Amino acid sequence: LSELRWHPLLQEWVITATHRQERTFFPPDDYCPLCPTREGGFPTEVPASDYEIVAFDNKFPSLQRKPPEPSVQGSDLYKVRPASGVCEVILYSPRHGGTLTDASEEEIEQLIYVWADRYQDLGALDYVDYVFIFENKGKEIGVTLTHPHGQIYAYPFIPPVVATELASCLEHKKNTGNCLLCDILAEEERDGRRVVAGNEHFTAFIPFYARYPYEVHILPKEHRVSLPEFSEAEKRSLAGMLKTVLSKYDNLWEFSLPYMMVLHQQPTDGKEHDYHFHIEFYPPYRTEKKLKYLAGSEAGAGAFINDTLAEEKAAELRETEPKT
Amino acid sequence: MKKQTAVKEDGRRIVYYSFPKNDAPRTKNEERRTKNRRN
Repeated sequence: LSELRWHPLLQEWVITATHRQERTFFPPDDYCPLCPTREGGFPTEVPASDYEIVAFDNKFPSLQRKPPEPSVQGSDLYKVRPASGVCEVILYSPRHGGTLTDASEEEIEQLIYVWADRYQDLGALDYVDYVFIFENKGKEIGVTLTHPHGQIYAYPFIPPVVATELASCLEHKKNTGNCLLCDILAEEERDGRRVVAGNEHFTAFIPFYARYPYEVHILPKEHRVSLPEFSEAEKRSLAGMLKTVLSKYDNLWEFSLPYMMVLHQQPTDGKEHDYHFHIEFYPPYRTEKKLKYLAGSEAGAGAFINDTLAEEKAAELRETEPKT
Repeated sequence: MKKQTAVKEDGRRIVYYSFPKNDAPRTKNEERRTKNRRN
């Protein structure tokens, strides 16, 4: 069963997908469904005996290319619609162990080309309004398969966080004539205290308004709305910046730091928008041994409490190898 | 970048991406070497 139920108070869609309860939960290392299918071995999600990068439809999708009709009758108050869309899994490597941090810059660059291609492919579907590329890493985030992978949700609507950011960008543009994210980047670079790393085309920083202690954002210096707009040099530069940030994360406390990594790009709904591509990381740790939980204030009121100063956490990350 | 799309037995799509050596995005060192040769 999967369907979209309208939340009339928050004015947003909730994806109801009960079949996901059955999804694979921490299989043994020698029975990984994301490894290639070895000769004589059990069939995995990838029928080929080897691969470099693969994207495939999730076996337990929240959104489906051909969704079933909703299980309940909707009303004016309680709208319901089919959960159309696509959920894909992207496998970064045929190697079972390791993480994206362990990938070479060249391999990360190749992944960026794949992200751009998936954005275009899925965004071209008439029922897809927004292509959301992300990675959940670590059991603390709820990851149930350890093979290095990311995901894509191709939504039939613009998701609430992005919709809010788009509205803020539009309002700022009306008021100032400028792109909000261009202005944020300029302010972070002018101040400098929260900058974590920079290269020719990208700046990484913990924003003034960070909600998580080690929340790094990566922004292109040029106004780009989505990955397909990037030049080859920019894609290469982004790979370098990702490698730097990921390495800092893992060197911070000398363990592989869990995170959520999300890519924010222009919607694909065919309407006019003026967004600014960026990547956001939300690691759940606030100290080496303490997690930041989304509790009453965050979950019930939408008001985040950050127990740290972005300026201090950015300085910590700057000082962490590779020093920047 | 090369791309091959297939359909699995259960009807789900799978896309294989490969990066043949002469086609792969170049590394910084490779680009530097190319520039040097040009110079």
